[in-house]
Amino acid sequence: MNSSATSYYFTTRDLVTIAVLSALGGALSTFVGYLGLLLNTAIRTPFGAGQFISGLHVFWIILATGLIRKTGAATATGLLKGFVEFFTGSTHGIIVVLVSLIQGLIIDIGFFVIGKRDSLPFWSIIAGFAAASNVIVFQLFFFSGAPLIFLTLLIILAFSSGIIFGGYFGHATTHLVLESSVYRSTVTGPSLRSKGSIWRRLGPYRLSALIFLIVIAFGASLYAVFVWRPVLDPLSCEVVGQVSQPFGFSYFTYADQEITIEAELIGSVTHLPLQNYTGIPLVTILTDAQPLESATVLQVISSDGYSATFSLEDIFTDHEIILVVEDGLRLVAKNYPGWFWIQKVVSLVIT
Amino acid sequence: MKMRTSSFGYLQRNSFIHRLNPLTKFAVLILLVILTVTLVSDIVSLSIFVFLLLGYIGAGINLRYAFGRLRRLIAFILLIAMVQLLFTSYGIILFYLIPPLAPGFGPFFPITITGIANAINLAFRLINIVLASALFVAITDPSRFVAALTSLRIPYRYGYTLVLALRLVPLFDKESNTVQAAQRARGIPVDQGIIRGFLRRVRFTFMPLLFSALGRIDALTLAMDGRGFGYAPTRTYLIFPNFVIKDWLIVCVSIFLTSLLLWYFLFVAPLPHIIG
Amino acid sequence: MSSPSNYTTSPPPVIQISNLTYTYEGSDKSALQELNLELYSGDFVIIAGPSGSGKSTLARCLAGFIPHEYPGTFQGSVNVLEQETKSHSIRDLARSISLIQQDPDNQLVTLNVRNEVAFGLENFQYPSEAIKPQIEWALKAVNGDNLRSRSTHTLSGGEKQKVVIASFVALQSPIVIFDEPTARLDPQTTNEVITTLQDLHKQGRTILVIEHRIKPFLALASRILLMNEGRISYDGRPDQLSALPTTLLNLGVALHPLSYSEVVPSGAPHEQDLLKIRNLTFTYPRIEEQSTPRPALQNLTFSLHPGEIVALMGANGSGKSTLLLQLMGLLTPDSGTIHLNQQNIHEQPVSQLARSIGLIFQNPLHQLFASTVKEEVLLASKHLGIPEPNEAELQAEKVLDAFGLLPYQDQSPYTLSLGEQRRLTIASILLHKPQVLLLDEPFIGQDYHNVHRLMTIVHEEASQGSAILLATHDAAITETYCTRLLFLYDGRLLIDAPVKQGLEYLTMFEQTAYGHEPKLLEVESE
Repeated sequence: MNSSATSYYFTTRDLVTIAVLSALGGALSTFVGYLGLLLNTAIRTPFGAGQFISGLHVFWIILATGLIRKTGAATATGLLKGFVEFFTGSTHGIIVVLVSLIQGLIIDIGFFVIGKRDSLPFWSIIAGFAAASNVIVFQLFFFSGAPLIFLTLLIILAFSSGIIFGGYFGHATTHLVLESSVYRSTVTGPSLRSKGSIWRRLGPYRLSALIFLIVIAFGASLYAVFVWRPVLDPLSCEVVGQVSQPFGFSYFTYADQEITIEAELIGSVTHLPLQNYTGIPLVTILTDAQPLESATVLQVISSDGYSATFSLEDIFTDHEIILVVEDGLRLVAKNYPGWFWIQKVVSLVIT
Repeated sequence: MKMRTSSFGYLQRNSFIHRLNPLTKFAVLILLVILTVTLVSDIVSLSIFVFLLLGYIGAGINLRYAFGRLRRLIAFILLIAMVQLLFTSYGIILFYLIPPLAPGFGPFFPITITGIANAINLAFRLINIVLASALFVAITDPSRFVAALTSLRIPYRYGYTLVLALRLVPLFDKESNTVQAAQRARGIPVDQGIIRGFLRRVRFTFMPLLFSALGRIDALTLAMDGRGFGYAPTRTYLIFPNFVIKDWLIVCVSIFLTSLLLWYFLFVAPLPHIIG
Repeated sequence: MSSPSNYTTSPPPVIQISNLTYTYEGSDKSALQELNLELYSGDFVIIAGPSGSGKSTLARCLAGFIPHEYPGTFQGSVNVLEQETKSHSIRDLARSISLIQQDPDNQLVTLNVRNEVAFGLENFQYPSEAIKPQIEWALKAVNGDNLRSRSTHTLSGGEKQKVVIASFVALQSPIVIFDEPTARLDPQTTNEVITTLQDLHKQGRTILVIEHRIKPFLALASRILLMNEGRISYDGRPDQLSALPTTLLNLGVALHPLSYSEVVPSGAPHEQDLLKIRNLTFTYPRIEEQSTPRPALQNLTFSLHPGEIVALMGANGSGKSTLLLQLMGLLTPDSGTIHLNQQNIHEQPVSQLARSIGLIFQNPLHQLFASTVKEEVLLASKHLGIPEPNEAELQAEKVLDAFGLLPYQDQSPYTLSLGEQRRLTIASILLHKPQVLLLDEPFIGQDYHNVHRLMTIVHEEASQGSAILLATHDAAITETYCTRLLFLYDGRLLIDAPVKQGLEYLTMFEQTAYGHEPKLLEVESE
């Protein structure tokens, strides 16, 4: 019907809808933040309850997607809502744009997977993932190294909040809006109402997108929790004392020099049977430090102050003393008794 | 009743920094964020912090404005620092927050030098990101930012949604206050009960606002199309922020400096720091 | 232009509509039925008629919004400057015809005035040298040169209206449609807008005005169309109108004064003070860097008595809404007191005060909370605990019936029309019988049928001993329905008098005092 010379993927109406919902989300974000504070004080937890409302941020994106039903609408809404919060002075600065953009992306991929189906459970799961993603982004920037239990708790909270506010509330609101006289829907009836097994109609594209989504979600969680270690590397250690080249290193600096040895720990209390250990030979590290002629002793110090002393000469001839990754760095000294196997090594002092 | 409103950060001045192309400012903002995230060191953080304060001064913006932004963040900064302090168990231990309570039970929560260093570094990371963002917002007219985006070949119709959204924010702020006043005038006790009160607030605030906002969509669409929005794929501008030589210069120098710093501290020499 | 051509009978029409029938999607009734219309260059046309008669739909068809933006069934043809709207996009038609809609807040799309006026010119790819003089010209045309560097969100209602008009007329399209251009404006701004329309007409534009309050436009108009049920039921010259008062009345169009006679303001008010306001002063906290705080209300003293229907008048920004918020206890005065039945209203929380005082805000959508119409009516009484649940249930149905809302009781309030929503907001505070009703501009966008319906309800409440205070710009409504007039000027109470006398003072004041420091005309003695 519209014979305009230029026709666009997103109509002006779509864009206005995106702008209106982003602006509302942005304007209400101060209100939502204030609610979060109220909850924190009310539930008497200093923090964390804030995640209980993270679904309210996702709500707007879900609603925009539900009303517009075009791939890309969620990403656009997420990005725009982020910029609105950024320009109106969000407390997190430019990071909020990233958080919001990722939420939009997840929702777009999710809706691409389920298609135009009006399925409350699937909307809820998508919204849950989107809400939980904010924990991971914030963790990357500001909570590196926070304990797993803490993160898991926040992710669960955020996920639930996404399900409640993004999924349930978002789904119900979309319907309320479409049935009201206020918003003229351009979505044609049947696609929204269609029911029936989602799996049956899942084509190869959607299936692969679904798998992609799951892999990405798990990958991101694993990466955030395990690989992206704290800012100051727990696998770091320093070599100091009578060396011509004192330096700090990370386990990863020497990761390509790993060797595997077989050793048995015989301590006064603990006894571990013969098993394989993979790590970096101490000799490799010490060689790089270039000990002075006068140096004779190596003291390996742990974070709790415990230490063990070796003869430097012995170390240089023993290739079976290695540093392995085990709750920090741990010394595995094959030919020494248990109390030489220092845990949480932080410093190698040569004197 | 305290009315909570969000406000625009743009502060009109005529400084050199204000006159730069918005894209230049945005590029510098992104580079600063990359630096502050990648180079974890109290010395680097402090340098960026000082650089930003100089930016505020150069732009003629009262430092009280900058610190005002930070004041709202104190809780979050403390949270970040606390997490690091409590949960960093490696590094040299200074003491335990909870001493051994019984044989085999405790000690818990070692406070380590590394933990302190982490706390400072991450808190500073947030402070710097927020200060840099607030500075960008304070010196950038969003309309000009959107116009400048078209130089990156972003279609103006998409960029324009940002202008429209920002124009609507104060309107919705006002309406949000009206709605909350209307709740009380109807005798709805929104502040009773924790969870119930919370849900009531959400529902009774979101729904009226949402519906009155959605009711504007038709008129807004027609007001835009009715003035030729999308008439052609490109449009002209009353004032277009050109990307001029000084912008090129600043962007190139910034990219070069950032790369240099990253290369040097990641591959050549260890990062200097005071603590940790 | 005026030289008569000697070989043609008349120039071709600028607008030609033939056999236009349009039905909105989901509706079973046509909004326009077999409409035929020709308008000529230089016409100044008033389009009037009751709500839902098809005025706005006609405007949408002329601007091409229908059929391009609204789905539905469209038959017949609309030609604007010989372009058939069906085959030209809205953006193309925008060069020939501009439609300025009702609410300026729905039409401002940029952050400052200059950009707003430039918006259309930029879209049509005018070079920037050409845009600047156009902006200046357009702002001058609406008497708004001083607004040039303002942010759009700091403008007052009247200023917003001017900027929106400027942003459309800057496009120089030969036909301009105004949909209720003065509904939200005070008399002074209304006059300014009318002058703008007159100027545009003099420059040779074809002007169409959709209005309920047609009187101010009659002197300018060359033609008037009265619409009813999707058809044009009268098409003629405005000076012949006085011959058909009954037709007018039936169509909800009012010439001053209103001719409704069955509602008579109830008699002398009781002597006792229901709501007593003494020396009320209030200043809003400073919001922006530059703004200097000015008291929004200064030293107000008056009382409301049971049975009174009091009109609260005054220019936009004179403090009417602020006063209503104060009386509801939503704002705390800097000094002065408000007593309800001898008790200071600030001694209880607003959610308790709501038992005795009800406030209806301008936009019904801001105060509809429940999921069905019936729940909406029950909501307040549920929270306030009066009346008893069973009793409330019974009364709710009664009230809904009286308001003509009973058929919709299980629907969502958001599915109602604007007029119905407005009635629902009033219904929703009646169950617990508040003693004072405060109404903020309840008549915007309502035809006189709806106004009458609302005011009948209000009168019933007053006759049962409530006091009503309603903010309005409409002198005709005030004269017909109210017993007393309060007039605010710049936060001060200038007139407090019985309605007839008050309106006389007001006319005097408007004729003489604008632009001067006004003096207190008369305050009803205590």
